[in-house]
Amino acid sequence: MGTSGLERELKRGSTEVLILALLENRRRHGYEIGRLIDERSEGAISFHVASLYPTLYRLEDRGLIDGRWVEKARQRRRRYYRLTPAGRKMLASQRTTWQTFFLALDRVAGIRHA
Amino acid sequence: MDWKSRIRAACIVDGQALDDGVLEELSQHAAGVYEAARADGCSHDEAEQGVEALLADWRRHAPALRRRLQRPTVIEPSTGSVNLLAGIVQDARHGFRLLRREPVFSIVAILTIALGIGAATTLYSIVNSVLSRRQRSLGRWSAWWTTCGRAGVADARQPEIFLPHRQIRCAAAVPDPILVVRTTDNPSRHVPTLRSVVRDEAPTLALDSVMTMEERVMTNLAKPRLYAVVLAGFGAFAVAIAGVGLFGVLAYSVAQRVREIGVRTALGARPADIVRLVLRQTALIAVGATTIGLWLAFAAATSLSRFLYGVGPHDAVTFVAVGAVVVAVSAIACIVPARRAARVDPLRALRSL
Repeated sequence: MGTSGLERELKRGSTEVLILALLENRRRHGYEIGRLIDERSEGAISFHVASLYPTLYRLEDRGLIDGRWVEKARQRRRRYYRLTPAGRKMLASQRTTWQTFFLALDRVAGIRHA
Repeated sequence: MDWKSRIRAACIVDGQALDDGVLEELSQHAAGVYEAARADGCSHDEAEQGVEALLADWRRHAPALRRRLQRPTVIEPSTGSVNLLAGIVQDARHGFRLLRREPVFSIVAILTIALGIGAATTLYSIVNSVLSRRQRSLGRWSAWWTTCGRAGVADARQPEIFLPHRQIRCAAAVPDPILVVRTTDNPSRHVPTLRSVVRDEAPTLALDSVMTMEERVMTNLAKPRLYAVVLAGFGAFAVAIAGVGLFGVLAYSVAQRVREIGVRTALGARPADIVRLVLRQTALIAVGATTIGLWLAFAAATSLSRFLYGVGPHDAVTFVAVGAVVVAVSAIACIVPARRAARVDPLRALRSL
């Protein structure tokens, strides 16, 4: 598998944990989630935005996040997503899985994360 | 830029368009992408090209974007410290409107609770004053008492003269003399000595009801203390009745508004909004009843002052404490109906329309 293929596979696997992690502390809307992933990863993970909303809807169908239209005074309504209790458990589990994965990479191939 | 129409046209698959909610969400995203590109210095054509690329990708994912669960919109008030006061004013106005809608119920509720508060405050105020005066009297008697008489603790001191007992020949002059002895140690030890001295000096006198001065004062205050305890019990009962009455009133009020609450929930009201709605009405009833009740207590205590001697009927601590207790009882009494109201199933409520 070439490097671009590896990147594609890694991005696919990390999409859900990225979204869950961004929703851990506060609710956000879809555009904000995509923008934050791009900013905080410094461009290394650029979401193909077309896959963002299908992923959000899939997570919502699984009960890991909850999406609601919120209307504030003098603002147009926006759809905000927040983490559900099941989502928090999934996030904790995914974090453990990724940490274990990185430790194994480090032991086997000398790949350390920052 | 009408992104919504363009996305709708681009994402029709097998004759089916995306849901309005999905279209609105994607169009907001498209608008965000366009504005971000323009803010970065891109031209209109360049920014629009970026959005067009997005639309093409969404067209490929259209089957995964179709048919979302529709949920009611949540309306949030705007934040800010200025709005806290505006929110309180709005809550108060809404509460008054709710009470005006049911004037008879509101008046009955407020007066009933006010009577409970007034009775409790009056009783506790007088009881507290009597009990605290007893403490002061006990201290005064034990500190500088020098004369004795048949006076009770509540009586004013009368002018007295001392006469030698031997000069009083006529027994009718002092039919029931009271002998008071001050000792330097425990007076109970000197009772046998006292009996023998009285026997020697006045053989016709029989010592009866020998007691210490503390016992004397306690005996004297036994009746008013009993009255105070009984009245305090009645006061507590009045507060309990006020709390039970408030609970019943609120539960009835919430039951009458099940349809309204169901409609509000269907329109997006959260449980916290429903609880706030119930608390608005409760706060006005509690504040109104407390104000009227304390005024009634003040008037009642003033009219009862002529039956009291040396005791002020108004005890500020009691007035404040009873008011605070009633407000706390009101808050507790309204939590159960409020939480019950927040759990009203909107479908069941609307079916009852």
